[in-house]
Amino acid sequence: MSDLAPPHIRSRVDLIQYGRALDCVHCGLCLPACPTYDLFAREGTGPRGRVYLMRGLAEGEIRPAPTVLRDLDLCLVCRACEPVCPSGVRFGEMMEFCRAHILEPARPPGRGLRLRRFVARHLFNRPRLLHALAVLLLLYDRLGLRRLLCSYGVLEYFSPELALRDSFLPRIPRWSERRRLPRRTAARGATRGRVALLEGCVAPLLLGRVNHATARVLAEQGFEVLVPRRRTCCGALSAHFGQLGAARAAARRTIAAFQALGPIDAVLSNSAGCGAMMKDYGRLLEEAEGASAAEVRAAHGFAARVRDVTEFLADQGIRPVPGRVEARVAYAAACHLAHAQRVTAAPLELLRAVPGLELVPLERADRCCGAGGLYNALHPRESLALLEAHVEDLRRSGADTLATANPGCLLQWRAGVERAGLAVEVCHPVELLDRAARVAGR
Amino acid sequence: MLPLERLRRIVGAEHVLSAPEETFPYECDALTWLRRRPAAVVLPGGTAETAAVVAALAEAGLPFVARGAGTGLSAGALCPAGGVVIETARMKRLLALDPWNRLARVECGIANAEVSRAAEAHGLFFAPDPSSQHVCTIGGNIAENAGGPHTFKYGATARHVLALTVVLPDGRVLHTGSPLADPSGYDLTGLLVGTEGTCAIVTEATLKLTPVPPAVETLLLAFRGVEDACAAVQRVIASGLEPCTMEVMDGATIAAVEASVNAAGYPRDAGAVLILEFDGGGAAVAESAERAERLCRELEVLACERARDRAHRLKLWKGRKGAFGAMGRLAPDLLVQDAVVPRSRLAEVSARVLEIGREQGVRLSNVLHAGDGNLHPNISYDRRDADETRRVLEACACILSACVAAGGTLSGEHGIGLEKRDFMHLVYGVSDVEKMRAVRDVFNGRALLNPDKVLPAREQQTP
Amino acid sequence: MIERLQRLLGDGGAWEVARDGEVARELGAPRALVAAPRDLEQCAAVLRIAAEAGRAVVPWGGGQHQRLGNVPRADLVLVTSGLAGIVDHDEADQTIVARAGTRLADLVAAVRARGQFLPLDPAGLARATIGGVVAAGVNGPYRSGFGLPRDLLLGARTAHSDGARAACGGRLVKNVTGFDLHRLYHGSLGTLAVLGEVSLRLLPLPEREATLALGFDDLERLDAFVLAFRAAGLAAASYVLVHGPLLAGNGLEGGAAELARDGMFVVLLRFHGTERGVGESLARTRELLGRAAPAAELEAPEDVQAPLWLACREAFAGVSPDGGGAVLRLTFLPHAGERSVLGGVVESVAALVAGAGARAAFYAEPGLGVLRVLLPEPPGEELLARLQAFARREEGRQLVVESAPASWRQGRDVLLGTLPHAALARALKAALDPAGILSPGRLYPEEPR
Repeated sequence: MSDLAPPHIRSRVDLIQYGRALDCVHCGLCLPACPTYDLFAREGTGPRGRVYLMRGLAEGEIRPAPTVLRDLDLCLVCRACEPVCPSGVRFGEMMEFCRAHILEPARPPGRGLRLRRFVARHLFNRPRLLHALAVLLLLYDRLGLRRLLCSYGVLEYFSPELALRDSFLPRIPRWSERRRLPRRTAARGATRGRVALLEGCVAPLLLGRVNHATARVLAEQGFEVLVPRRRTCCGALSAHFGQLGAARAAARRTIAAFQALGPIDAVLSNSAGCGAMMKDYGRLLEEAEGASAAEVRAAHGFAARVRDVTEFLADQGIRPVPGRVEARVAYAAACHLAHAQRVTAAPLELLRAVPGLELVPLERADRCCGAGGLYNALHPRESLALLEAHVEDLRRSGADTLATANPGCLLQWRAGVERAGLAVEVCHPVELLDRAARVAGR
Repeated sequence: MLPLERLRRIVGAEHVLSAPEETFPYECDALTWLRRRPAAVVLPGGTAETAAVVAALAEAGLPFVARGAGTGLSAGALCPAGGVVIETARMKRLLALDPWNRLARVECGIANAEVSRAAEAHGLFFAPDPSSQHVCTIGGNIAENAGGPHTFKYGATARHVLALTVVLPDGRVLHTGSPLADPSGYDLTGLLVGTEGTCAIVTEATLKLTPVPPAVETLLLAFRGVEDACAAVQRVIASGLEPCTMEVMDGATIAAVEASVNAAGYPRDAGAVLILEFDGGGAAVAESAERAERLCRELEVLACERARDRAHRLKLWKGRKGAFGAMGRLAPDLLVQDAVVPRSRLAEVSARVLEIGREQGVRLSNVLHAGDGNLHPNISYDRRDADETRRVLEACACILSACVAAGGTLSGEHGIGLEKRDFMHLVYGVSDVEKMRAVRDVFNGRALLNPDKVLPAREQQTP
Repeated sequence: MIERLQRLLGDGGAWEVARDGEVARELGAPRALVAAPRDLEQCAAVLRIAAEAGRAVVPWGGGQHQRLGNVPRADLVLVTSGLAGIVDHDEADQTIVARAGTRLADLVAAVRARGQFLPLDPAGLARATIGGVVAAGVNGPYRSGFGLPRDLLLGARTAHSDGARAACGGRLVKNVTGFDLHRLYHGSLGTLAVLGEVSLRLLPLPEREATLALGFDDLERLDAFVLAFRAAGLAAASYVLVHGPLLAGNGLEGGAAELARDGMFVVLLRFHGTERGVGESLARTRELLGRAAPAAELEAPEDVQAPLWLACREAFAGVSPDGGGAVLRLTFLPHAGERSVLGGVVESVAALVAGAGARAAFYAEPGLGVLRVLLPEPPGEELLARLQAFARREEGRQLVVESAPASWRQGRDVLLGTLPHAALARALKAALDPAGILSPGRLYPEEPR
């Protein structure tokens, strides 16, 4: 193959990525799985067309013109096209590489780009900065500014675009829910093992309840839970934005933080996006310029121990859940759980283990909700179009609770439910297990 | 001159693509060695918009072509030089479902499988089932008179289309056929199905739905080679049994499928597998499956397995439906050839096809809709390699000649398109093609719509 | 012209029609010539001669469906009886190629003798030719289960008025090579080309055949059955409704004689399949009868099946033995939501017929929404107008006069204004029949010259 590749493709990594574009035989079986093709119907907004664009860029057939950037940026990287691809095209990796090496250099310079790069490279590795932003957001909310701007339609009047973005802004929970997890939580009853849990970068600020519930459920299920001293970001958002250098730095920090915990059975995440990223650390560092063999080996070793919390519990066997939760629950699969990690049955198994809980079917439950990294911030209108279709499906399902296993999806669904005025609680599957146990007085 | 402003006014600016980078991904369908970049791509939102777009292009004297999901395998949706692609991807609404009369009225851009999905709750389905059925559009199915594994029992698309709304190449809208039986006049619906979008652009269709058979039995039989599998097919048919489908895959295909995400559990040591399916009433189906199993066991069958349940059946089928994509993993490009021979000649011609592959030095595997005598030799290659591409095309020419020589023809379901236009003389004489052309000219006299497909140019009609 | 034809075909190949003969009666053309070519080349030559002389040609197979459509201009009748015989019956491939003038009955028998099955049984089967049946686009009781000849047709060879011969399709069961012009010729009533040869798909001969006759004297019950049968999704080889008296005598004795009683509407169902499969279909159909109990029921014994279906197929001949009657065809969507409309339509039409002081028998295909009103004599103007008004009252209904004596059809449009796309149809005719001499006026009225 190498002698047929265009001359400017030289490095080994370039070749690997270029070769992936050649896996695609243009059959189009991916199209029905793609949320943005469904929405826009342009070839460039579907996986087949995007692969074709990437190949065209690599072969120098086309330039990274604004329309190309637009269509490739509209990709959610939900990776729903991967499980349905008969040729096994690794679309997510290609998109990540393309953003890093072709799109990033081609972006028009300006303030927007500088902000974008700062966010992608630095924000999530700066817990204090994140915290400061959270406080600002909290003030905006609590001082009534938000109500003033939104309830009376002021923002809508001046800028519908901003009003839309505002509706995706998460609510900052009260302080008690923003506490960090204890460094160690002891197992209840007979101990089945010792695990380490990733807290995440944004999750502790916005979804502390999920983290606390996860630790309690793991303990209840017989696992000792350790948490690294240093809060780290896994690097997924950086990678998503094509900042592979920042992503690799995050990966190295994360691996080091967990190594410091000593021997553990598994590294767990309750965030599908983070889990998918950590499972991919081996490849990420393998493709890094100048990574040592030992480092790559360590990354592969680490990645092999990463599990989503639902996957882990289902694998280990779920102990009978005490208590009861009367709820009609719809489960929406997070893309990075279902498509990237291919974990589809485990969350349902967990939910079925909760006495009293009734699972109701949700149409297109494995379709991206539009959260896609920071998609809702960058493409609010498109994100909303995807979300609203789902919220309508949710309404029809008759569920009173929606469970999904990824922070971005949780926040997105909450925004959608709130906009539609639905009385539906949005939570992580482990929260329902936790609630059952607490009902039982544990 | 491209009437871009007028087109934008008709369909909205975001649905007119004219930058070279935007039209680039439309330069080919699933037959990738034939490529032509359109001058523009227009995505109308319905019949009226399509008609207005066509009228604008006709006035400007520009050639154009309708394109569905671009899954075609004969370059049928390839844009005419300097022309415009009218893409139907936005026209995907299910307009009406009448379960009691077993009718569905749809827009042409809806995916084939979506129709069946919508009808499922009423115990009905749309019978034509091309391998790309989750993607390919009804409009494309109608243009190509598409078939699939179950065509053997249920017939190709032409038998399941009752009425059409089409846009003629001058922009007029025509309604043909009727959901009623025996509409008066010429069967324009039947005529237009299979004309590969060279006479009119289908924008809406009324489809006949079929009751989902209450029971299905699927058998997977493994053989030493394709010859044995074809013998089994003949044996089953001669016995008077009526399977709904008979699919054969050769050893190379089995290996590719088993190495892909669609691994179906086919025995890797077999030289061929046969998927045999019966549908209908429970007792009849069970009886037929038992009999077929007995018949095949009298032959040299290596293994015989009956699908235990729906999940197992779907898995067996997933391998078959994903066979082409799985072959695609072997090289950057894949050419899925399509030809038909009388069923009784299938084994012999299949062997000849493999021989041609060896002679030309190309990587070739074979999938057969054996009940219909339909061969799909798959050739893996790299279009960047000019010499390999030449050998692939040479192999294709040899395969088509061999099929025609055995009493067969050029295409069973993929269509003639541009790929096989210049092979038409193998099957039809000059006056045969003249009559077809005369009919095309009634609809498409200026030859602006899809001008260079199916019918060879007059000067190329004789070899 | 007769000399030129005789030079081409030999003295016995062309003659003048008998003034009181069949051709004269069916076409109302007592001065026409007849030409009997023996192969497709001669067909084309005959057409060229006629085209040069500006004479209108009507292709003629067995003369069984000449009453369809309007009365064409007819100067020359091209009989296809000289183009008879099976060209190739490939048993292994289950296909047959036959010359157009082959009698359908011969074809059906030949196929059957080799364990295969051609599901065509139109009225006039005994004399009809395969070419004629394809050109007419008709089928009998098998229509409900197997469709029209169109659904079996794989290809054709044709002769055209410019003297050309052409082929389309082939003899393969799956074929998308070139345009399927044979689907256009099907049902074109000889107005586009002369069929010389057709190829058809065959089926295996069913292992078992069973016939169930259900007599309803109550149209509501009939509708309940039609609805239940549709909901059950059962597949029948034939599914028709006939007036009981039309079946009288055909072995319906004892209790079964009840079926042939006046006022009885008989649903005739025929199932094909394996031993167990047919048993299953019968059993499942009987299960439906709980909610829609017929007044009489019979599983026809072996020796009664064939006569019953023959009576059914030739129901019109039963009403109008001398051929002086007429058939009106009303088509409609069989269901309005979860309701069968057949009973209501039959009731309304029966009332209109009775109100006009006429008599009629009914023959219907409940699954397809086709009701044929069989009249012993052509309808009066008032009855026709009333039936047309009934058909127009609701969307999705169409009424045409399917068959009537030439004398009655002369000067009328028996298709009652239902023909669409006149300009396009004329252009198609001009493309395939450039001289404009094939059955002119049979479908679309001729343009004034």
